[in-house]
Amino acid sequence: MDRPVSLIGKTAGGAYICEDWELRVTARCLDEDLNADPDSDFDAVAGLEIVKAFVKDRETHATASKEVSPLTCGHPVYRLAYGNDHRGATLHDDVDEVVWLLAYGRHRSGEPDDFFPACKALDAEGRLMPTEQDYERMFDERGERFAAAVVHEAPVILSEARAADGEHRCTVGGELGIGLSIEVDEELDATAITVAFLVDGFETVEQAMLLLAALSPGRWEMIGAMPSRELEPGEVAYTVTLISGEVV
Amino acid sequence: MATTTRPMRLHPDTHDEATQIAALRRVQPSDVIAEAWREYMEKHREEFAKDLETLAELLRDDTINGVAEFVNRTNKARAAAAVKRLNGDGDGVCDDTEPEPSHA
Repeated sequence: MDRPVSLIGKTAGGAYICEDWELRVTARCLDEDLNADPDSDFDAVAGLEIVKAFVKDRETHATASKEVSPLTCGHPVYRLAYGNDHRGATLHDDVDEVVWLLAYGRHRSGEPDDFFPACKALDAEGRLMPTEQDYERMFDERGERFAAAVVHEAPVILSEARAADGEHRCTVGGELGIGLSIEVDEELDATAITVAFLVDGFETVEQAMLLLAALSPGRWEMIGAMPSRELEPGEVAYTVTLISGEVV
Repeated sequence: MATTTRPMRLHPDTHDEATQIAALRRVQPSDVIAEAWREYMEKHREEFAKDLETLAELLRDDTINGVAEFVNRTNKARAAAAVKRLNGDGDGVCDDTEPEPSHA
């Protein structure tokens, strides 16, 4: 069984996956500005010129030099431009590692539907920023991707670790680094699986629990060192023991 | 382990506090976070074991949707915290210690 290919540079649900963040469009922008279903996947709007510009400009740079201002939201909102008059507004949330396309419109100075006054009106109405529903969808999709990756990769990782001489280091889901050590006592028919990871690599405690449960059922216990080394800064380690392949 | 390059997904204030505590104690900020993790796990030892059992059952039953639902059980609270943070209300730290029963 092979590892899944990296998602970087691809779309997944409502996201376009970049190396250090993802690009997303708010439901309000999808619905009101792009005339799409608010639950649309990224693919559904990827052909629109402003979305193409969003990917091209924000795939490698989460921010831009020009801002949409003045706004009251308290965060820098960056201008996105395509051609003479296609304009967008983007927000970089560096805590949750996402760049949002917040609004799109045409820039027609002096006209009632000019993008910039419209954007400021959305800001004043409190409708420019992403909502709880936008974030919940993003977190749900990330959780689903993580769950699928862990379930798919855990047997491969275990098999690689069994074949490795000493601690096996690898990634889960293409980015989360772990160290895995499997020790077998043939006389007792006992197997000890020990795993170490950086706690800040996980978004939630649940994701860490899933990794452990997918590697082996049983009562994982937190320990202070790996079999062959001390823990590194920020690292924690867990171990579980199986006798004759059964949980003890 | 040095194989991950992902930045910490912490509220900037929490990150700053961890950095300050680490400086005072002459350790790395990631050590402070790992210590908080260990303390949290010690306090919630039984819940952790029970959750692992639940996950093992879901994995045995091959219900990927159930697994995803478990992993996502605190997302409503996380989403509310993210918006609160963007709005500048409070610390925006997600209190996910009490997951909604319907998601458990």
